[in-house]
Amino acid sequence: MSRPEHIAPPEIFYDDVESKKYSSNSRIIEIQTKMAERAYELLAIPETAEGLMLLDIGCGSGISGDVITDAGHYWIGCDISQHMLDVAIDREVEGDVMLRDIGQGFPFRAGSFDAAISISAIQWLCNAEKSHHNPRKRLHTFFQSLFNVLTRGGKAILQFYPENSAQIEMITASALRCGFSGGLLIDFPNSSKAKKYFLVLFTGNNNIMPSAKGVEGEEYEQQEEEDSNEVKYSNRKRDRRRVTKSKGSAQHKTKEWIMNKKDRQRKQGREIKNDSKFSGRKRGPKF
Amino acid sequence: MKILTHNMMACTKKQCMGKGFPLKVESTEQIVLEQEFNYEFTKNIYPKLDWLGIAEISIKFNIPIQLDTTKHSLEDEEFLKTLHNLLCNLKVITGSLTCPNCQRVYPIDKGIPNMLLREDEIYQEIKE
Repeated sequence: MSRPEHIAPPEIFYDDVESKKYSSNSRIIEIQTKMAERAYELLAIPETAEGLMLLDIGCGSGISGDVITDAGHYWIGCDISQHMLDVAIDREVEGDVMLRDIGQGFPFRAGSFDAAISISAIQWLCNAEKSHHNPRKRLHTFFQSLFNVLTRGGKAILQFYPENSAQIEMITASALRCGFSGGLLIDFPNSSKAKKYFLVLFTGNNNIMPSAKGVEGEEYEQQEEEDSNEVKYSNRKRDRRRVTKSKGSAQHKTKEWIMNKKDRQRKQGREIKNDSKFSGRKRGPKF
Repeated sequence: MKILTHNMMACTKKQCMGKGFPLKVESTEQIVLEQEFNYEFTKNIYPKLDWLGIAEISIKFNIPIQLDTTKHSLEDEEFLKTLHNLLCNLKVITGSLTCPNCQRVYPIDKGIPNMLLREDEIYQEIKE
């Protein structure tokens, strides 16, 4: 997978051409909308609540904002790319947008927002684009400011594409240090394509961590619920092994497999030889 | 930039933490939108508003509104409608915002406020 953050800084990468893609490419729009819908779902805003104030971090052309508008809430978005915001203005999005580097924090009064979402934005903070950039400091400023602009009891769902486990560690550690509780949630941990990382953050305590989608094996889910304050990594190899052991059918050409097959065919009404002591028995070595 | 956004905004230069609002608005071009009145939203946003900012806007754009917070009632639909109209239907297209504390000027162009800070203006504090 190509990583735009390796190519150029966001304000340069999302130029005129790249930004236009975000208003015309139906595949990009579909993916972004799906992720935004999932993020909104994770916020778990009760259906009766209407007209809340949401912050969209790295709003871009406002695709994720449209999901918020459809849900009946109001949003303000921040993005560092002027071209992306121009596209948002052209599309006449309902929310308001402003030009801002999220690594500099948010220019809002404390407690302005009920919740925040971010789609594919915060991995950009892990890269130093300018000589004075320090990813650790920028992440710290970002999370500290986010904590301040949210109301107490507010939530933030940040979807991102981490490059490696060190980035995950850096981002989650920084968030928890700034007073958030919560942790990492991974949708479809066993799929390389559908796998999605969500950082679920709460400004208050005693929140229930939502459960991930597409996680096979109950053990994994239970662990997640037990201590939601800790970050969990899925071990893909281990998960897969467990699945084959518990769910998979008997191994090919073993006695168990042959007996199962004979049973199955008998039920289908086929003519099957009777079972004997020789059924499924290993043949001795040939001369 | 809608007035609602302006009301939430604050200057975050390092010397302005906690006192960089309300930003002073200068507008050379603004438009009036026609959005439906949203009762729930206006009610939810009410406790978050900064009335000093609204007072300034009210004088600046000559939109009369009850500024005495003790006389406000969330049951008064007429009042909520005026408030919603002020917050959501007035949009500044070109102009600038000035911080009352440090006098830093943020330009507004095509309805997008440019809130980017220079390197030396960033507030950073880190506890390792």
